[in-house]
Parts: sequence; structure tokens; C-alpha cells
Amino acid sequence: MSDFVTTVFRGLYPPFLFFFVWGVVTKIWERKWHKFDTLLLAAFLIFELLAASQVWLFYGELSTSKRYMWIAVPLYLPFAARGALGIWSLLKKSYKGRIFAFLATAALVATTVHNFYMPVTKEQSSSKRRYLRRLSLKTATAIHKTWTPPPDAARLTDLRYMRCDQYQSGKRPLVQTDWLRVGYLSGGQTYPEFFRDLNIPPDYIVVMNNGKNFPGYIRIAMFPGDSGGKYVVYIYKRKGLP
Amino acid sequence: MKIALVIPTLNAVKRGVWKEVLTAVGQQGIQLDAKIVVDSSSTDQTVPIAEVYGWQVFRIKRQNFNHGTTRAKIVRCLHWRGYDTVIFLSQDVVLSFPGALKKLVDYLWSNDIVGCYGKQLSMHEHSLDAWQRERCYPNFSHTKKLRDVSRLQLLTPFCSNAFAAWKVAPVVKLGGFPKTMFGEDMLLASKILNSGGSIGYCANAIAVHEHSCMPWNLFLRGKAIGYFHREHPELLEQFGKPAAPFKRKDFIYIALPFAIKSFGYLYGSVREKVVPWLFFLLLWVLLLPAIILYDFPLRDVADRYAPMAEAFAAGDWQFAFHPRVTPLMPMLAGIIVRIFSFDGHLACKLAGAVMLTCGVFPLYWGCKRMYGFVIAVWTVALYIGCSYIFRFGYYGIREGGAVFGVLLLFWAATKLCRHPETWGGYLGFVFAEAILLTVRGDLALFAAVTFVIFAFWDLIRHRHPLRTLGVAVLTLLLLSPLLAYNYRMIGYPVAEFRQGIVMRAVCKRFPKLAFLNNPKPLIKLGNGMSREDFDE
Repeated sequence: MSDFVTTVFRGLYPPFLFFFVWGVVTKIWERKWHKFDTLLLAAFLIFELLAASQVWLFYGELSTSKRYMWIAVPLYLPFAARGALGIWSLLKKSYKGRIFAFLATAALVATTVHNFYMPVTKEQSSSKRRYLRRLSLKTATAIHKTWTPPPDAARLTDLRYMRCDQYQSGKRPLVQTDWLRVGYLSGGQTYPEFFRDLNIPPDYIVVMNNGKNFPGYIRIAMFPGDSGGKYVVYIYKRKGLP
Repeated sequence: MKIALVIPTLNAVKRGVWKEVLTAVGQQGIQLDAKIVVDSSSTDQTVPIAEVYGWQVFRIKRQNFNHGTTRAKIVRCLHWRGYDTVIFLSQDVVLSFPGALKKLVDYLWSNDIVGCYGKQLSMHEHSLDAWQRERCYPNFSHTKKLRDVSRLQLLTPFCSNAFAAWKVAPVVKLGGFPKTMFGEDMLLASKILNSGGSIGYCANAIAVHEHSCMPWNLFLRGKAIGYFHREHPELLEQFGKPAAPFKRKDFIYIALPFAIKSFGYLYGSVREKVVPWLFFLLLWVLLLPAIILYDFPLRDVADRYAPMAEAFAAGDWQFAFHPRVTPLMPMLAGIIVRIFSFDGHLACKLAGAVMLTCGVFPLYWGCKRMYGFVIAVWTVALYIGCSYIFRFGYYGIREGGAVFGVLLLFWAATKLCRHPETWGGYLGFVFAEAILLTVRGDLALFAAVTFVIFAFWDLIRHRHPLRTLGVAVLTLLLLSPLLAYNYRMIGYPVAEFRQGIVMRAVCKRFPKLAFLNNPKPLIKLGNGMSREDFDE
């Protein structure tokens, strides 16, 4: 329950929530509340309510995701803008206030830019991520190089291979892996689990740090980890494939 | 004849000539029945000084001041108290000799005119003010009628309340000064001319009026004029564009201030159109490096959207669509792949970025319509500040499209609220609903709720549901390819397979709706995806 409440709170985009509350309160206080404001606020709240409760509606479980709730955040920004403008009007009256506003704005802008690029910088700067990324690309290249499409079943286009709740792109090779991007990067697709029920085996199996014998598969590559053998990738290919 | 002199003020002492202004008025050889200062909550000594000089002071809240409506209220009030003439002065206009006001008032009443303005001089010969005033304030007095347009163009309705006198009764009869923060004098003069009246210029009534030459103030003044011309295109249409000042040899001295003021004018006249584009460009500047550097696809993108986009570009329709994934974003990405030959992942990122950045426009125009320019700018600035939302732009996931759909719905609501008689709002609403339904299946509930609100509003406003029906039909028309696809694939005309499951339950409960069910779907409709799949 506390996780749910935390997620909902984060879904309301806390950095601007203060401005939003300030904007709504001052608007009511100054008697400038318009019918349209009620509509806008209602639309925002309805959206957030539905976004927060959709998992519960479908699965009876109290859970949600922040990104579903962030979609409607722009709807409350006009109120937040009024709040921010009101606070700025208060602060600009004094010299100290202006300095504070300038510093706060600079901090907000810096935080925003940092937050915006954080996944990118992490991807590029974290040695672990960079290493795993390189390893993934290397694995995908190795699969791509060793893959020759079998002439009889290059693609999985039959309607038997389609399910309404899971997309499969029809492409091969089918790569069974926890690194879900390797399949796409190698030119094929990640092995859809429902193929097991249809007796379609994966073309490749990729595992990390847990090399073992898979019956019917031969190991075609192993990439030793550069960082003290922490990460080792094993690639297995199904026997009988060209 | 009862004459009132009125000066609207705001921190007049800071301009440096407040005492000179009051002293010069005190030296005038004319009987003034009322000397009024309307002060917008000055924080300096403006009011105490005015009181010492024997002026009547009215204080108003700063935010309540408006160049048009405040003056209009004053004129109405004076009319009610039996005044014939009102003279408006600016807080930085110093009358140059003791007979200036008398000459102005005499000119007003000796001619068949409603209002007249006096000559304004600049202290500095080589200043921008001096140069521009050569044309506006010639050395001879004259009256102006509508027939003078061909000769004087925009100078025909030109008038300056910095130093002007008006006959109170005709002004009140014409409705007074309109609501505006700049150019209320010209707007009233235009009204007078169009009603067949005249306005005058008295070259013998002279005052010194200096505008600040600081670059920022020049820019602001240019901006105000530009904005005024943009807000009142009817003035330019009727009277023509502003004429260029006379050529002068000393142009070199004033070239820089002129350039700054012109830049301000340009900004003021186009800023409302330019501002959202500036934000749009700023967003792309922020997004492009991230789109290029974030080259490792997310799970959803690698497993679904990117392959779908590539299939769409290749015309491989079987894999370009799927009942699990609503088609808008993969289609948009597919078009990008087709045009630019990018890979599916890059195309998905670009599609998300396009939708998010385009969201600036409905947000800005909607906000501007409802709350004005300033709030609109702040709102869009905060929108750009939503860094977590803009990550959608380079992740390549569908939420970017969903944000655009919500913002388009907001724009449509503002349009319907302010201009319900035009079709733009209804069409915007149709497209917004269609986008919401084709970008994420779980937005269907929100789309339904907003449609119900719209229908309710329409019924109350128009007393008949014709517009609602029109909107519903158009939305269904836009969605029909998707509905037909899912009818063929999973057996129900829905936007996404989960809605199919709901519809199956509804059809079971209400057998009369069984006609909605395709008995021979190409894929079996399962029992819904697992909770784990939902977390993807």
C-alpha cells in the first residue's frame, strides 16, 4: 500500500506540485476561478484516478506505474505556472528575494537538465552499463554472423504463430535470453515464451555467467569478461541449423 | 468651463522629474478645477510629494491599472461631476512654459474637435526620440479628419495622452478609452474619426517628454508598439503602416538605439507566434543529443515498436499491426523509417520526440486563449521542465503520443470554451480522441469520460445532440480501419485486445449485442495478458 501511495505521489510530478497547489489556492483566494479551471482540474484528477486504478480494475491489485500518470501532468501546468508567477512576484519585491529566485531557478534548470540526460549519461558513463552494452552488441554481432536462415522456415508468418496478447515480429533467429535486446539487435527477435507451447525451439540461447550444456545446442562463442571475469557470456546455437 | 488635469503615476520620483512636472503645472495660467493623481501603489515618494503640491490623490492596486479602462473610469467620473474638459499628462512630461495648458484647451474649444494633443519635444537633438518626433509633431497646428488618411496615413489617428486634452461629454458618448495597455489614445482617436469627428494637434502647446535611452527600455517600448500593432491590425489596415521618419544626416548617432527599438518592435509584433516555435526548437536542441546517444533500445521498443515500424515501412502488414499494440506510434515510426531509411529504434525515438515537441503548440495556444500570454509562456517553460516526461522522447515508447493526445484535448476544450461557434474545437476534439484511442489502449476509459463530459456540455449548450453525434461519427470514421482490423483479427471492433475481452463479457451478458462479434476471427481472443506482461 505504501508503495502504491509513493508511486501515485511521484506520478503527480512532485517538483511542480508545490507551484500547482500555490496556483490553485491563490486563484481561489483572488476569486479568479473560472468554470474552465474546474473542468481542467477535473480532467486531470480523472485521468490520474484512472491511471492509478487501472491495474486494480483489471487484476484486483493496488499497483500502478509513474509513467502512466505523468501523461496528464501537463494538464496541471497552467495552475503551476500561475503559482510560479505568483511566487516570482512575491520574491522580486526585494533584492534578496530576487537573488533567491535566481538561484532557485538556476538550481531547478540544472536539476532538470541533469534529470533529462541522466539515463543517457548513465548509459555512457557507468563502466558497468557501458561494458554490458558493449557485450550485448558483441553478442548480437556474433549471432548475426553465424546465422544463416534455413530455407524452409526463414520467417514465422503462419497465423498459428500469432497470439492476441503477445507480439512476435516473425523474424528469425529466435534468441532466448534475459538480455531482451539482443534478439532485435541480431536481426531476429527475442524468443517469445508462447512458442514453447507451439514446439518451436529457440535458435540461440544466450546466458550470462552460467555456462552449462543445453541438450540439442552447441556452444558457439564465449566472451570472457574484461573486468576480472565478472561477466561471461555464453552463446549456444541449435544443432541442425545451417 | 470645468477643467480637470489627471496624471496616472507609478513610482514617478524614480523618473527624476516628478517635482518639475508638478511645479510646471502649478505655474500654468489657467484655472484647473481638479488636479488628480491616480497612483498605482507607488513605493516611492510620489504620493506624499503630490499631496504637498496640493493634488488630490487616488490610490489603486497596481494590477488593477489599465491605460484604457482606468482613464475611461476617470472620464466617466468627471462627466458625472459636470466637468467639460479633461487633460491627461504623463508623470514625466514637463510643460515648457506657463501658457502651455491654456493654449491646448483654447485650441480644443475653438475648433470642432473632440480631443487634441500638444507638441512633445526631446531635450537631446541627436536622440532617437527627437528624430521620430519630427514627423509626429510638426511645427504647425492642424485638425485631422478621416479624409486625411491618404496624406497622413497612420498619423491620422495619432494622438498622445502624454499631453492631451479631451472634451468629456463626446468621449463618454463614444464609450471612452478601450481596454489596452498601450495606445488607448490612438484607439479612441480612431473611433472619433470613424464616427465622423475630428481630432487636433496644437503645435503651440509645448512640453518636454523624454523617453529612456537605455537599451532595455528602448526594446520594451519597441515591443509595446509592435504588440499594439499586432493586436489592432484594423488600425494598420485602415490607415496604413507607420511611415518612416525623415532622413537625417545624424542617423549614425541613433542607428544603434533605432536598431534596438526596431528589434523590440519586431519581437512585439510577432512574439506570440514566435515564442512556441522557440520553445519547440529548444526542445529539439535538448532532445537530439539524447536521441543520438541513447542508442540501446528499451525492452518494449526492441520487442514490439521497432520491429513493427520496420514492418510498416517494408509494407509487411501482417507484422506492422497487432491487437496488443495500438498502431499510431509504430505507424508514425514506420513512416520515418520509410522516408529516411533509419532503423526502427531511431525512428521510434524520433516519433516520440515529434509528438512531445509538437505538444508545445496545443499547450501554448490553449493556455494563451484561456489565461493570456504570460501564463502560456510560463506553462510551456514548466512543460519543458518536466524532464521525466521528455525522457519519453528518446526512449521511443508510446507515452509521447499519449501526452500529445492529452494536450490536443486540452486545446480543443479551450477552443470549445471560447469559440463554440467555430468548427476548430470540434475537429480538435475528434482528433484528440482518435489519438488517445490509437496510442494506448488503456486511455480508452479517459477518452470515454471526456466524451461523456463533452456530450453533456453540448446538450446543455445547444439543447440538441447533433454536434455530439457528428463528433462521434467522425471519431468512429477515423478509428474505423483500426476497428475493422481488430474485428477481423480478434473478433470485436475495438482499439485493443483488452477492450475485446471486456466486449466479449458484455456480449455474453447482453446477447442482443452478439452482432458485434465476428464468429471467425483469425486469432483466438485469450483471457488477457498476465500481470507480469502488464508491468512491461
